[in-house]
Amino acid sequence: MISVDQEKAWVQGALAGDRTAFTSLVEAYKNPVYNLCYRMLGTSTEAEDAAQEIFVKIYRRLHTYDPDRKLSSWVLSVASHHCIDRLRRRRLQTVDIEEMPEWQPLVSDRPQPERQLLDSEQEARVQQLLEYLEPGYRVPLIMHYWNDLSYQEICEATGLSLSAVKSRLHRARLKLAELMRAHAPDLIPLMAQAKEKVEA
Amino acid sequence: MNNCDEILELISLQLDEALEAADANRLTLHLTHCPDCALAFSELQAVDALFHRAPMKYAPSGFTTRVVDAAFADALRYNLRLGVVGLMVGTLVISVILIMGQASLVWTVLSILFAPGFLSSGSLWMGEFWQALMIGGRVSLSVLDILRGLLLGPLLVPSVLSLLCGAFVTVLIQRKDQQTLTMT
Repeated sequence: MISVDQEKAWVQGALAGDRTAFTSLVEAYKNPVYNLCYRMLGTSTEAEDAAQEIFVKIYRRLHTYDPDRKLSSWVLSVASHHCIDRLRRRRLQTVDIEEMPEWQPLVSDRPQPERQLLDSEQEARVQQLLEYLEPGYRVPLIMHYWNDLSYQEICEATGLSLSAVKSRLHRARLKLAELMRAHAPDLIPLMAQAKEKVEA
Repeated sequence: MNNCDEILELISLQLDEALEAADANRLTLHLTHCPDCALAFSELQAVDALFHRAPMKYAPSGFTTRVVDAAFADALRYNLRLGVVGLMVGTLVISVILIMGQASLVWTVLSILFAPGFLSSGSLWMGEFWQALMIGGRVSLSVLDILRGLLLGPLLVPSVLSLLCGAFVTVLIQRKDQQTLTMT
């Protein structure tokens, strides 16, 4: 856990041109920022480029940082806006829902290498599902699931109201459930079991 | 909003462990007699579980060093660019002052050559130069004379060269920036 004093020391050091202080700041936030970029943009190459640009931007704009604000919220705010801008520039073509590949059901007693392959397939499908969501819905979802941010912290990082954050998370989940129901009902055994139970 | 829509929102809050006790009881009660909401609950639970299981993506090795290098190089370029812009603005201001002074000098020389009588009014300073320009039609000073004096003026040449050098350095920096962006 990073203390507020620690963060303030990094910011002040970096503002004074201290390389070590800025290195510590990057080291502390590189994974949340990289993960956010990867989940928003979909490829590791683009995620690395974007994450690098974000830290360059953070260093350049460090003098605008309000010390009363949580540093992690500010960093993720810069990161999410940067990713949304990138997506806007890219004018992302939404993948046609019919083009989704057939999903193989998960079977727990498969040999380990095959199991790993399924995990990576599942990971790819998570990413694919995310890409169906509008960027404005994707950001709160990523912050919630991967950055473990509370509703209030998501509000601070995105500038959305509390009700908007709750609503976007809810609608994002509904959309994801709808996609999974239509295209990968056996994605998770739990879902198939639940359906069987209800039908019975 | 009908009752089931409201229940769906409660399900989301329940998944985030943000549901108050009274609403939690209402949700449980509703799920026991509404198969549609019970199915939706299972589906949303499945989504929640899938995303909770998805691993964090970690930055590649050497990322921190590359980022810090890039940030400090960017800051250096930014400061250099600011310096160049400052130099250009400064040069421009100095050039204008020099041009005005030079024109005043040229006009004085011309006035000696073509209107010696005007010298008696003592026109060596800029205020008087402009005053003379105002009545330019009536004295023997033409715009062409002023331009000739400016172009040939020994003080103007270094000023223009400074401006051109500033612009050249700025273009070089911008090209370098574009190359760096392409590389990254």
